[in-house]
Amino acid sequence: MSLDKKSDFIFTDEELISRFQKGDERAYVELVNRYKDRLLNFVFQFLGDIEQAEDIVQDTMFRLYEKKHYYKEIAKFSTWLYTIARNLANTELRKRKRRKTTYLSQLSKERQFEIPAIQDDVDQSLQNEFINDRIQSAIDNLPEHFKVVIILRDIQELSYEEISNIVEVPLGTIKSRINRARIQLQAELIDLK
Amino acid sequence: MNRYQFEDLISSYVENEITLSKRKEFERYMKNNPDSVELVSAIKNNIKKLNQVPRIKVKSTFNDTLKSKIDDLNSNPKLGKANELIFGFSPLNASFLSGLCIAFIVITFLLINPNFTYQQTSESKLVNNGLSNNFTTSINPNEVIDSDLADVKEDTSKSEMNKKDRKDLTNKIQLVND
Repeated sequence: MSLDKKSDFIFTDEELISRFQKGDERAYVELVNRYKDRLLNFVFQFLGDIEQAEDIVQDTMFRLYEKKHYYKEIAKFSTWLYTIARNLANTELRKRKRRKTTYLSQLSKERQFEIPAIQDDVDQSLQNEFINDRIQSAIDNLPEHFKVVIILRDIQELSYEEISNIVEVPLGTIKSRINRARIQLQAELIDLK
Repeated sequence: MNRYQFEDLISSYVENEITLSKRKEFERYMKNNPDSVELVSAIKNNIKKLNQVPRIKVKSTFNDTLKSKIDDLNSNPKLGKANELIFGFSPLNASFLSGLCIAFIVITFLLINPNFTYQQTSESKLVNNGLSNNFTTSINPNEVIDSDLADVKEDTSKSEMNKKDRKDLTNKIQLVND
């Protein structure tokens, strides 16, 4: 099986997983190519460590291969895959807490931010980098149950229903959490215009 | 509308998922509270910024690493099975847990039947002292082995009875003599 083949699949995710369950490995390749970057961004927001995030995505894709028959078409495929990635990321977070290791992402929380003086010659990319750092830091400071929903909604742009299925929390609670998370995030980023 | 009700509706308002009547009420509140207008616009801006967070991509070696893992699995299917769960537990945890269950059952049984332990220990002591034969005979007097019978020269039960009779007779004779 080659994972590098670019294919012209126009199937939905659910059709692809169905084909893969019947033995078509090209469908698996297409699913991996569709989701690897999306999952990396999702897990990276959680862990703040790109190497570990990539390992988690590897494990997620490996489990997709190994446990393909566990998927039943009662839920969206993306929901199922995000749930696997989220569970693996949570396990990693629990391991970290046990190890009490300080990671770079945690160090960044303690960093004092200084707003750079706005000058005409300020490099736009530096400014963007600063904003992104602030956003990342503000997300890191959110409580866990707010963090996951804000990442899934405002960064991954998933629907409320999908988020509800991934987090396994009622839809109304998800809406409320997203609203509260946005207000809290606004308080964190109040000095960012 | 109070502040709490206003805050609860911010996301619905921003995402246009609010009924017309609620929207009017919401906008009326914003008109009367200028700070709330700032809050709503700041939240809208933050959502835009989050949408624009630069997307990272996996390494170019991602697919190769994944492929080698899959090849390993296909060449050695036991690798995958080793990680399978037994009733939701890893094989190591499952064996440890089953050991605990067995120990729990044994201890519970011994606590419910304390005599069981006593009988067992007293019996084993008798065996150690070489008294097991007597113990067996006393429990089952009818089980007499033929070889033992061969060594008996007279009926011991009858001789005992004769002794009793003789004793009584002697006493009677003495009384007569007196």
